[in-house]
Amino acid sequence: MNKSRPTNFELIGLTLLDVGALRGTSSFNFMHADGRPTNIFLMMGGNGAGKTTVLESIYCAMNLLNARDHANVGIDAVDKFDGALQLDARVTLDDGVRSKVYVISISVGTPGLLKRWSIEDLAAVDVETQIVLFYKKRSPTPGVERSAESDPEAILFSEAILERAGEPPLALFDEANGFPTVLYFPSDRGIRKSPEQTRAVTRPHGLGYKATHRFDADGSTWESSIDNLFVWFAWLDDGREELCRDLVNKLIFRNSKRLGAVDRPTLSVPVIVDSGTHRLDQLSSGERQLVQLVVRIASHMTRSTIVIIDETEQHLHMVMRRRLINIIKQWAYDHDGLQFVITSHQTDSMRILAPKLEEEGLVKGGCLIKPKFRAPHVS
Amino acid sequence: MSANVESFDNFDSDAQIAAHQSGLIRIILEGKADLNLFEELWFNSKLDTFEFMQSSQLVAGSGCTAVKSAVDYSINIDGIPAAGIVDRDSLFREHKWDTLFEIDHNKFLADTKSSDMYVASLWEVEAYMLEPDLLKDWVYGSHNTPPGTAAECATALTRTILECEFLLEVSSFFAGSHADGAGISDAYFQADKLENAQQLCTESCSGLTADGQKIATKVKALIENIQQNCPATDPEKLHFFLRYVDTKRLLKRLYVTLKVREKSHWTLPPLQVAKNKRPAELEGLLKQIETKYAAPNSTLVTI
Repeated sequence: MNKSRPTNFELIGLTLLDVGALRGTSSFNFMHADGRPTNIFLMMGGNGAGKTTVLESIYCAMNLLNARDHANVGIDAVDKFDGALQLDARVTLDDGVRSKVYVISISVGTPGLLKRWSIEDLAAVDVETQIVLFYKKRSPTPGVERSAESDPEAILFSEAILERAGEPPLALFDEANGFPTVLYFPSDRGIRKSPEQTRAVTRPHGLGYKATHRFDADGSTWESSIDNLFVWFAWLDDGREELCRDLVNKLIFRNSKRLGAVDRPTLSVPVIVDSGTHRLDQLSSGERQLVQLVVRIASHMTRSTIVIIDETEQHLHMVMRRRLINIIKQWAYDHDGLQFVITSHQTDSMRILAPKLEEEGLVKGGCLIKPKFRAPHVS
Repeated sequence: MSANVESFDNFDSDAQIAAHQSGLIRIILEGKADLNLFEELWFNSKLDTFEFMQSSQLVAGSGCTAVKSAVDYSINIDGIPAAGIVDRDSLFREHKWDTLFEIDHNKFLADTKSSDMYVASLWEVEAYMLEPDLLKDWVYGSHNTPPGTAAECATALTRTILECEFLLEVSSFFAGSHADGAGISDAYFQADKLENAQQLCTESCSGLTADGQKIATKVKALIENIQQNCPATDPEKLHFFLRYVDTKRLLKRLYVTLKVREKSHWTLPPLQVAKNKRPAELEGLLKQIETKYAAPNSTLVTI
């Protein structure tokens, strides 16, 4: 059994070569100028600039950790053309005797490693060694596989993740678990009406540990629905159901309505409003999106979580938009090891995030992708 | 980071980030009235290209100097392309008499040309509201005892031109007074008529200092040149006079002459918009600025 396990994992860089709209080499530095990894990183830019491409690249790079072999990477530029990507993270590996910190680079694409970290670069993040986990195209059969050229420590890290896969979280905000995970909320997220006929007390699909979770439209099946998650937690009776409801009621509804306890005969989660009750999927699209975000993050996160949210404020009224940014700030403050990488078009959201303002417990950063004009401090 | 990516570390403030996120060219104007006209009425269809701003949103101060400072600030500190538009009357404040009363428009353009600052050809922005064919509508709808009669509407343009001629006749006194540092209210000469204008001006100028009289004499010659070269038709004549006539003084006289309510000229811009009329000169100016920065990933290299 592999004894080496990650106890901490922080996203610090991403390099893309000819991926999507981002032609040439595009480098993203998720570090603050003082060397700390950011816990909130905001990307802005016009439509089609490549914001979603960056999020997809983070997700797809991390998704490679879920198996040794893959049918594809999930990015056309890499699967069909000569594009490449490299995700860099600061990882702490513990073999039971000692801990060692590395920069781990997950590299995929024909050109190979896009960034070799210099001694100075490594020193800036307080690390001595870069280790590389290569994924390369299989031949002659199509697909991508983990390469034996990878560094041994990187392979041990990869194996540890595979061994942990599927292990159910024991608590909300599972901070005892330092294994990395990406929680990806793409722009088509939300909550659908769960299929009525299949309701049952069932282990939720995808609740166990994985290096990546993608939450698009929750509820395409009963097993993957938010309703089932609440039902499952209620059935376990370990306090998570009540805690999830508290989070939704306090952070989102704020006395305007209330999420009631799971109705056991109908296996549904009632939303209690002045005029009666309705189903979770009958909330407005903006509210559904916020409920999904809060419940999924709380249920699936580990102590090394990268939450990526595309079009952060979509469907949201200005007040809810501001509320969401404040939830993100609060959670980044409350939970060490929780990193948010988000995209937005709204300068209003950016102003609430206030990237240039120093705030205790927050390490904020961001970038504009393909800005029209040159920044004042770039010669 | 790299060419495609601009780190927030390269910006000084959230406001700078917001400006770069919007990617809009800034048009810096002198005041709130100009801003309202550009942003809400005449050019709101251009808000996908331009951000209209008052100079006070970027720098302290007022007037054309502040516009220039705001443009410099935008370009050099914020890194956002910007152009300033100031009224022709800025030349009055700067005592640039030859340029102010220049009759050759091309020479005026050449004399006022600078890379990021534009001097509008009419005295001030409100002059662009006074379209010849809208004056009758103004009189009809904003008459003190509405509606204005057919005769009043029909003669609105000629009566407006007469008021312009009066103000032209006494302009040398206003210039000499300004040179002397004396403030002359907008209602000065309010009750006086064109037939007395020349005599009034001569008498009033005799009370100026020697320096003031020197300026008045110079301006009088320039005004005579304008009078001798004015176009033949009334619509052309009005447009021509609006370059040289103090707009605020003119409006003050028109409220009385045309018997329209005070400040009612603000009903004219919505009429312009309703008739799909926008000041062609200003529209052309915006087009010129847009073209200047049209290239993708424009930098602040001036043309």
